[in-house]
Amino acid sequence: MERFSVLGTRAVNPEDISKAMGTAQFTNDIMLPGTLTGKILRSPLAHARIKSINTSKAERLPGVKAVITAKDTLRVKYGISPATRDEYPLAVDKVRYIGDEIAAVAAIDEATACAALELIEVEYEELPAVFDPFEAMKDGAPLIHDQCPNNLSVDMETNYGDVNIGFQEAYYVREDRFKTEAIAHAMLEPYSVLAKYDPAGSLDIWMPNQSPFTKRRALMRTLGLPMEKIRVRKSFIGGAFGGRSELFSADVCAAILSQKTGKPVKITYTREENMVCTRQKHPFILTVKTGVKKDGTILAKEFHIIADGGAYQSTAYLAIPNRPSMYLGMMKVPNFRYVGKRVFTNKSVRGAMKGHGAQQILFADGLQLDMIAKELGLDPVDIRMKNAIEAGEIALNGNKIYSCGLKECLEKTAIAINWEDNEISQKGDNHIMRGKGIGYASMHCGINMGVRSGSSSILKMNEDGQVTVFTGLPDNGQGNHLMVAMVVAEVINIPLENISVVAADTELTPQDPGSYSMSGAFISAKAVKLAAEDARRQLLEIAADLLKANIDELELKNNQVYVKGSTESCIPIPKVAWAAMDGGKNVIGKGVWRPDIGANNKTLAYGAVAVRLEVDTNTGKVKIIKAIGAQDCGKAINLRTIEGQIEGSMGFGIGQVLTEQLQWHKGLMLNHGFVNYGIPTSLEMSQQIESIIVESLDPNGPFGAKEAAEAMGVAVIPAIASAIYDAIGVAIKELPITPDKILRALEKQGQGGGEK
Amino acid sequence: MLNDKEIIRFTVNGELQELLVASNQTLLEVLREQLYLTGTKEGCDDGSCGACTVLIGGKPMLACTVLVMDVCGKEVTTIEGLAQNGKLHPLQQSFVEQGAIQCGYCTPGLILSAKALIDENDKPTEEEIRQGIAGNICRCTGYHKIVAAIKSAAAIVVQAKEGK
Repeated sequence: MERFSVLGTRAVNPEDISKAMGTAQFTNDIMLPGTLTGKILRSPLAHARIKSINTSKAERLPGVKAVITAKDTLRVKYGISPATRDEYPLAVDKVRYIGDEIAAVAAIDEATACAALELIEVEYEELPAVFDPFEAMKDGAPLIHDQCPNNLSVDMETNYGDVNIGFQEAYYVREDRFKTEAIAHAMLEPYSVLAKYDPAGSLDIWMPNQSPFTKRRALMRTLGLPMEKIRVRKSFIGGAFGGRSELFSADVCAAILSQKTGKPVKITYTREENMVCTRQKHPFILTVKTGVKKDGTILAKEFHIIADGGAYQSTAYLAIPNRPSMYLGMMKVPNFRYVGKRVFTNKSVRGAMKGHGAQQILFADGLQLDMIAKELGLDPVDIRMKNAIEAGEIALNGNKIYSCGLKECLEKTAIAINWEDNEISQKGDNHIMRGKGIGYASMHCGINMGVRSGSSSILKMNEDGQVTVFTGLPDNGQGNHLMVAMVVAEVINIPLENISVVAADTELTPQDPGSYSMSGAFISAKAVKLAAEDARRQLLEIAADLLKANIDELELKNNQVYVKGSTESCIPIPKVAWAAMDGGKNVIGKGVWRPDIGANNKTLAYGAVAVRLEVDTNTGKVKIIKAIGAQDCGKAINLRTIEGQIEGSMGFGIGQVLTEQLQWHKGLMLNHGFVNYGIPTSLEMSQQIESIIVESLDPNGPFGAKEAAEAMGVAVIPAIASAIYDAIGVAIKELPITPDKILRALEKQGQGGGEK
Repeated sequence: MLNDKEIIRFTVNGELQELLVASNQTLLEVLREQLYLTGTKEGCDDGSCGACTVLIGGKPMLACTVLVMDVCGKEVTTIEGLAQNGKLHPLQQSFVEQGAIQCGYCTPGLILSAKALIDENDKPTEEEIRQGIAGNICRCTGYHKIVAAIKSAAAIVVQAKEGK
């Protein structure tokens, strides 16, 4: 077992100090002299053609400095892939959801900007709209995008083996239908973008993001500026959860308004705009069919998914087609079919969100597995263990499983929750029913993103041995910058406080995939490790010379270079660094890493969550008594950070399964604030929570590291849904599992009906 | 008139401020945009997230729902006023050490809610802590380490008092 000096410790994050003091600057905290306030005019209609826009009155309002519409843009569409670019920064011909962007203004203050919006006259030709995916797919339904017949954004099918044969051979087959609702990221920091255009032809722009390089490329295309003239700068980021990975209209509008006015322009979204006009999690309607042997071995698995995509493509081609490899990387099934459709509707845009389709699928999968287990008299943990994949095996889709801690995660959570203890599970106790549930999940580390699939890093050593590491990896609060500093400290054996991290600035740092593809540890930190190793080699060459020793005889420890076996023959690293620079051999390390992440080389991180809860049959309310999360993150770099990710991810999931849902009246979102949306407070969390770290070292990750802890946010959902089923004996197949659904299920059960 | 302006005086972090403010300005706006104290955050502007929590006369209040005219003559404490002579308040220290901070956006408001809680009740139970911060939304941490940090800080404050 390899021993580490820094990895696996609980190092404190120095960035937390400025956050605790209130001095950390988020985008809206950055104040540049003369900044104008920008606001966006949004469509009040779900589907309409724009016949005319008259901005003259708005332009004449005192205090208004610029008003723009599509004609002031290049009318270039953007989107995450060439095949799916379908959004204009400002509507050209039509609007497709309530909230779609039409015009933007820059004014001396917010009140003036808002008044200016009121003066913009738009003539609409209202078009029939469609809000239900089944209605939208019908022939003759209103067409939202001309090039997408039947409003299909994704229509794909994946088959391995033959599910029909599997179902025929199965001892028991069941098919169930499930439904989930749209979820908001609800990160605390409202979206804000500050753009400063220099008339000499360059743009500085700040916004919370998950990849400054993704933003830069999209800005280059939509603004027609050369890439090197666009600098996406780093600010602190108030949460992302997948919702800040794409270009937004405000980015382009702020830039153009700054160009036109010659002043910096800041556009900050209201909470309503954040919830309606950025991205949401896809609602799914899914049918799951599973065939098993009498002992619970799965013979065939079939998923049919209808995802309500809202008005534009967003991450369509990732959300739907990527899920099979995630499932098959966990469960050994010989026959598998996955039919995925994503459908346009005239509602807010659905895109990437923590889990990205996995929650919905594994909620359905897990709950159904428990129903099967109950029918066959099997234990829920046993049926999962029976079908779980192991390291070294090849998944049905040909993926080699390089590392897998799934079984260990399942075992450890089951033990920690006292799964076998039937006394705790006993039902009754007046109106309180108790239940236990277990859920699993996997998450791929990195996705194929074409030219942006790899990461590079540079490390420079100052003359005093202190180091600056440059990485393109953003930190949205998950401790990424501390993580890369710890990797450097481990490789070069210098104190953590001697390392500073410059990150996520397109001018200063090399290319990186970003923090939305679970690649921070697996790809970005590996590039940093390679840069550190390169720097270490250079350092040792100089030291070898100074110590008159062979480079192979040297080792690094506690900021010193030692000749192995000697305590006297050593030299402090700062002295080596000085000598290096003095001799014209500055230590500068470079690391470039692009793993082969084709469909057959996906490394997965794994997790399991077990919960015990109580259901109050008078009120339908659920109280989670204990939640245990086990995350297989490969080599755990910072234990405190990973625990925080496990706990936070579980908390994030608790809301989705019990209280959160976006509610609609046709295309109008009704609950766009924190209170009426149902976001969990400190009172809704589990009474007891425990984090377990499982380390199945991956040969491709830096020191064996993988992602942490998105799998937790996914696994907690089936765990809770299953525990409720265990408690009340009725499977509730719709998320969120709100008190009214529980009461209805209990009532039906009392009358002899209900799904068992 | 709604936008009538007036000079008012109030104390912020121990310093007397004299400002020209409008009758419809919130305390949050004035703190951030006139005093450049951007530690107090705007999360929702409708009083539902707690990110703008400040202390007014030691009591936790939502700066986005307080008209600035209403703090005339009062003492306001923001997150910037907590550290003394470069030394972090035990709550700030505890939040950092316990890993109770992730993105950090809710942190200032949370720390001030926690301060109000432990100033009034220096031995809070876990339930009392959860109740005390129930008005502060955190999307990142799941609250577990936040509760631990507050408990730990309360113990340190008590020790310091008893040590005197």
